[in-house]
Amino acid sequence: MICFHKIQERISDDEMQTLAQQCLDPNTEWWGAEYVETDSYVNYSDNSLWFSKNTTRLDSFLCKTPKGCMQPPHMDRGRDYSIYVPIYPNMYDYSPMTFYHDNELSHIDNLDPGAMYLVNHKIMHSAFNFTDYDRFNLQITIIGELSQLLAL
Amino acid sequence: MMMITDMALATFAKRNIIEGIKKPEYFDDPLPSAFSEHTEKPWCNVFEPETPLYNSNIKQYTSLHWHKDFKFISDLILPESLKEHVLAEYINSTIPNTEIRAHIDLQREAMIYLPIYPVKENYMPMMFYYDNQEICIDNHDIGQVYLCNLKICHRVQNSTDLPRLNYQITFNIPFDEIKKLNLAKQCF
Repeated sequence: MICFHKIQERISDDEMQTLAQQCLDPNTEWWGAEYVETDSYVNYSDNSLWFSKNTTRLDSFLCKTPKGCMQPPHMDRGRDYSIYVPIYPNMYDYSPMTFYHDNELSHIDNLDPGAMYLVNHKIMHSAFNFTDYDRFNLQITIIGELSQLLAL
Repeated sequence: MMMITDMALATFAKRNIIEGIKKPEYFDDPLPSAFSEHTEKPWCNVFEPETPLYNSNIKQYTSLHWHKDFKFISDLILPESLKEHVLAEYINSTIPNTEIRAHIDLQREAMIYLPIYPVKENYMPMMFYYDNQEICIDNHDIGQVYLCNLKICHRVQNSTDLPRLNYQITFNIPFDEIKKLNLAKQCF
């Protein structure tokens, strides 16, 4: 695995529906991301990124990129790997997570709702949500050696 | 590479930015013939890349402009040894709130690139993605000319309210071959 790897486990349809409901619930509380660097160019980007605690899996959090916002290409500083699940919207309305590696682009999209991905956050990646929808995904940050995880 | 003179840039700005570049128009001529010979008429060729796979509200758009008055720029910045390798030269315009998504050029190998307008932090940079790094060419160093490898993944997002203009001289030989020509001696 270099950028990401689609793992065998899946989120069930019922769980996906629950997650989507929580994401879209106006009463869900969100907090802003810390230490997000803003770009030095005028009007370049709205890097707004919001998190919420997932009520069904306490070791995970929901991540929201509001419509019109983006995370320009970057590498994460605080983590190496995560399990990543695109939630909402689905199909072609979900702006993909794009990786820039070895002069090629690769995408994690939501064409297979319920799929789970092991993601390498040390490879440059971005998300540009220029759609009509807020964009949500589930992330479980992995602590420890990836080799141990892959051996499970 | 080299610096274009402030005077030349000021002249260009007066003619083509302050007075305004004409509104882009579609041209019936296919691109290759339009590139093969510079006519004395101002022309414009508009590119709207095909719709990306994923839905997006931001428009993919760029337009190329040529007028004989632009020629003084290449006279200033194009090294003699590269003249025989020029495929095309033009002003590239990216209108406000559009982007050219990340891509590798298919037809073009390399180019000499001069950011023109706007300047400083208002000029949205050309971003290259190489060796897990993002490399930006912006317009903080006004008048600086760059040699670019178009076979490296790159993108532009003009999320400002200003048109974004630069001058491009495209070559039909690879970036590495151009570098071997030892341009530094010719330029400085």
